[in-house]
Amino acid sequence: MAELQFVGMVFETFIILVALIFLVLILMKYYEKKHQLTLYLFLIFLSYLIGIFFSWLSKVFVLYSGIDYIYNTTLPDPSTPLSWILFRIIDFRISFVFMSIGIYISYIFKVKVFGKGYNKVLRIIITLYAIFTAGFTLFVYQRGNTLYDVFAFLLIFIFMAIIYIPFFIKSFQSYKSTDNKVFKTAFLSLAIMAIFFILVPLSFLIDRMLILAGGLGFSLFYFLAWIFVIFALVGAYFGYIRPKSEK
Amino acid sequence: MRILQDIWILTESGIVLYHRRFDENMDDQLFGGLMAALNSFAEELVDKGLSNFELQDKRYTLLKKNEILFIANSAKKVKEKKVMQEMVFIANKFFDLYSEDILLNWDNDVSVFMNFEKEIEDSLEETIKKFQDAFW
Repeated sequence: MAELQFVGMVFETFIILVALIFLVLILMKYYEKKHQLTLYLFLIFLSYLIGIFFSWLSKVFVLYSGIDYIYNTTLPDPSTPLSWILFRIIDFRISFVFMSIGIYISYIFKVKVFGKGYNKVLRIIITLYAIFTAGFTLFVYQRGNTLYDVFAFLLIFIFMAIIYIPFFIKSFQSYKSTDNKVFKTAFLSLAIMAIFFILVPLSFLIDRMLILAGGLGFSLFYFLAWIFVIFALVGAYFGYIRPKSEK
Repeated sequence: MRILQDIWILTESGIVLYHRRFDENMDDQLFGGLMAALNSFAEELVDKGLSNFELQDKRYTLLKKNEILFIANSAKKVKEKKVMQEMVFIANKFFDLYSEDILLNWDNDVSVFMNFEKEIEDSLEETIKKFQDAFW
């Protein structure tokens, strides 16, 4: 199990590095453009990066912290504030909170870039869903209860799908409607990015369900999820950063 | 309005009430006058007047409703039916916003129609412009 944790940690280190490079590119773009949408994009990817960081940190804690109740699940929970936080880091709950924040900012971003304004009812529903998801992942927790983990992953997957399916549709419609080669490539890249963003939590969800069914974790779907993150980042790069247009 | 690019709304006499253009190298009132004259000439030849014409890679589509002429251009490859659907949508929006009374008592002040932009602002070109401003 420790070997799998180590492989996972190495894999996530690589993802963090790629995501960090992408985040720096967005920041540079923001300093160039000084536009609100660029800032939103930066905040989205910053939230995702922090989420990935906490996932990575969970493996570091299990492997190197030396805190016995973390790596030895038979030991009782000391029920201290520190253990409360550590357990939530280890079971990705802190990561989910930052993912929820990132997805919620993605909703604002989507409305601002593709939409005509907020639909009041939808805005309330999505805000409540974001709060519920963050609250559930943080507070509905029982050590070793994988079913709660599955629910948390499911909530994140649904949230991602709610936001990124319309994003995919809008990007694909724009791709189909424009004749300009640069814009076409960019919109197609964004459509691909949206699909991979949805596939990431779906793969994690399947991985968790396999654990629920008796698996050890770190299944093929765990690694697929992180590969999808890379694909999504490549899509985002060709959608947001790479295109240069003549105004 | 993801298909239409530039849009003009003009009176039968060619006065441009509203326009949304991404190419600024053209005089709108001149364009309006030319389109109105062209359509009026076409109406002399056939009952319904001019429905569309093509210039390079763009197709200009015309729709006349309640004595108001709606003109929009789009990429040639876009189906005419789709273009017409959006034009009808725009025309309906226009008459929803500006009643017959407003149009009958209109005092030639085109600023009255400036708010129309908000009703049709989610166009492909608007989206592209946002992406250009923020990223590209």
